[in-house]
Formats: sequence, structure tokens, C-alpha cells
Amino acid sequence: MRTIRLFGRAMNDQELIAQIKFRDQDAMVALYTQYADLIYSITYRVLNEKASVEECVQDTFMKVWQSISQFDAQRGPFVAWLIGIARNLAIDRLRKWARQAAVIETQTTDDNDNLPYVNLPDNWQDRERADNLRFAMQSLPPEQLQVLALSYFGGMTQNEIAEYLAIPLGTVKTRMRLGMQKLREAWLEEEENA
Amino acid sequence: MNDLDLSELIPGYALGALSDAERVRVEAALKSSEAARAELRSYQDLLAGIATAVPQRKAPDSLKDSFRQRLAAEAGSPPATAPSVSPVIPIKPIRSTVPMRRLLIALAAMLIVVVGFLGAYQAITNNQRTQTIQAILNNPAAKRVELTPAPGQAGMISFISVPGDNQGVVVAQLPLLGNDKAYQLWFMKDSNPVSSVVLDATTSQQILANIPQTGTDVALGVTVEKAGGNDHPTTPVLYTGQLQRRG
Repeated sequence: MRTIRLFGRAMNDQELIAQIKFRDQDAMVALYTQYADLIYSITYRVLNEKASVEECVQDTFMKVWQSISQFDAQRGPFVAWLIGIARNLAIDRLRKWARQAAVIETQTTDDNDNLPYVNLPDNWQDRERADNLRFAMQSLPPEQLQVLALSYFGGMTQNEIAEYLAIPLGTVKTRMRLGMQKLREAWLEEEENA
Repeated sequence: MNDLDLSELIPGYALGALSDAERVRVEAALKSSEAARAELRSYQDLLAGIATAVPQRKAPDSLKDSFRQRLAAEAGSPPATAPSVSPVIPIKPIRSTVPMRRLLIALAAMLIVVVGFLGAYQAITNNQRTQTIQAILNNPAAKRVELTPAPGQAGMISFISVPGDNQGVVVAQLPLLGNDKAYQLWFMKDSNPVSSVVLDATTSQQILANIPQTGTDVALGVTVEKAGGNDHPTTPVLYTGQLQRRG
């Protein structure tokens, strides 16, 4: 669990969340400070439009503020919940624009710019594990990676992907399933090694 | 749906990529299969991991100020639910026909009986409370939550409870307060603080406290309120913690 400093004192996610449940705005701003770059990066990857990204980042953290009572630590780490909110909000916005595929195609070019990767939480998932996942993603057959990207960053359903790529729905399902299974194996394997 | 079908659909479900009909089928199957729920959790964890494979960008500094302002505006709004107030029912005056002296004697006798009864009742209740406290503290399944003090706040307070129970024990050593103030323990239920117990002004104590019925984890916090407690917190939270409601 990562640690955040509030008023000069180290607080972990769990303590911050408890403070936020008691409507502590300083704790909420501390949480924002810690995760803003991560959420900004993910949202940018989906929307690729600065003004919308900024709105979406704010919406994400406001949603956390409003829905913090719904967070259940038993279901997974806070950061996974946070990323889920950000991704859903960004994809909702993208759907309104109805140009998911266009954004994905643009972003695929951006990804080759050798930008540094997001700073990972100190002790959420260690860097080695995430690096391993990146390697696994790069090792995926391009057609599987493409289907996953259209779904993960473009919010497209399997039907929409089949239509967009003009391939049978069954092929999309197979590519998605195989891609996800391979990534999960890499992810779990590193967890067992950690 | 058999296990094989479900396993094939779960990756697409985690991504939100299934058709509505498939999504409904998966959700129905998830309700009855712990293994499927675990598999789904592993995919959801993976999706969070994939997010870290995104090239890094820095959020503009100005965004933080905007967020802070938006947060303040939102937090400044009045609470969604106002405390309920019981309607005042006027009491109809009773015209007495009993001579005043006899009435006073009867009242005095009644008072003696009531005070005696209350004393006995309190002794029994205290004894029951002590036994309940000891039962919780000695229960091997009991879990302790140490509440974290705010910066500069002295004292310690912890909450011990058995998962699933609706009562727990507060064990506290807190700085002494004036007679007009008291510590009050709150639970956060559905975004609303629910009073659990008011701790008196003594420095060290063990006291029985109620836990609101909820299936999820709840935050707990302690504030300083007027003696006897308040309907809702009126001062900053001095100690906070998180109570897990599942064993």
C-alpha cells in the first residue's frame, strides 16, 4: 500500500480513505496530488484532447469524493478502483464523441514516442511486475494487441470491433480472450515470483 | 452456462466488451460461482496493471487548484439529509380531584420505588455490560482496529469487535477534556456519520459501543463534542480508522 504525506505525516491509502469518508478535504487533495499524474496519463491515452482530459481528471476525483463509501477494500486495491472510475468516465465521453477508433489510431502513433512510463506506486505493484506486463503486451501478436487496445482505450464492444475491423465476431472474441489470458498469465506469474 | 463458457466470457466482461445479452448471462453466473468471481477479480487487477503501461504525462499544476475549488464548492453544500425531528405532541392538562397532601405522599412513595428500581436495574445493566465487554475482549476471533490520531493529537484509542457483531469495545486513553465536552465515536454509513457512543471525560476507559448494520467496511472517527454528544460531528476528526466487517 502506498504512503502519502499529509501535514508532514505519512498516511497510507487506507488512512486517507478513512479521513475522506469523514469529508476531510485536505485528505482528498492529498489523494489527488498522489494520483493525478497517473489518472491524467490514462485519461490522456483515451481522450487525447487536453481540455477534455482535464475535465475528466477532475470528474474522476470528484466521483471518488462522492462515492468513497462504495469503495470496498475486500474487492481489490484502491488504485484499481480509481483507475476503473477514470477509464469509465473517459470512455463515456469518448462514446459521446462517437470517434473511439479514430482516437485509438492516433494514440498508437503517440505510443512510439518513447515517452517515460507512469510513475508507479512505491509498493502497490512493484516496478518489475509492471515492466514484465509491458513486455508481455509488446510480445502479443499485433492483432490481439489491436483488439485489446480498441476495447481498453476505445471502449469498443466486441461487435463494434468486428464491424470496425471488418472481421468475424468470433475472431474478435478469440483474439480478445487469448490476449487477455496471456497478459494475465504474465501478471500472475510475476505476482507469484514477488 | 458451464464453467468453460463462463471462463471464455469473463475476459470480455472485465473489459466491458460483451453484448448486453452476454453481460446479463455472466452476471447471473457470477452470483453463484466464487471461482468465477475470483477469476474476474484477477482480470480487473490486470486491467489496473495495464493502465501503468501508458506513457507518462504530468497533470498541469493549475488543475490541482481547479480541483481544490471544485471540491470546496461541493463540500460547502448543505448535507443531503437533515436530522429528523420528532413532532411535538401537546399534553392535555389533567384536572386533579385528589387533595394536594395525599398526592405529594403518593408521589414521594412512587419516587422511592422508582429510584430503587432504577438503582437495581443499573447495577444489573452495568454487570451485563461488563460481562459483554469481557466476552468481546476474550473472544479469539475479535479484531482490534487502532485509530490513527490526527497530527499533534495525543492519546490512543482502539476498537475491538468480533466480525459480524453489532457491538464492540472502545479502549481509550485520551487527553482530559473539560466537563462541558466529550469524545464521540462515529461510524460512516452510506456517507452519513452515525453516532456510536459518547466517551466521558475520564482519561482511561473501556466502553461498549454500537456498530451500524452494514455489509461493507466502515470508517470510524472520533471528534470532540459537547457533553452528552451531538447529532452530527461539529469538529474535525481527531482519530480515524477502518473497520472490516467481514471476517
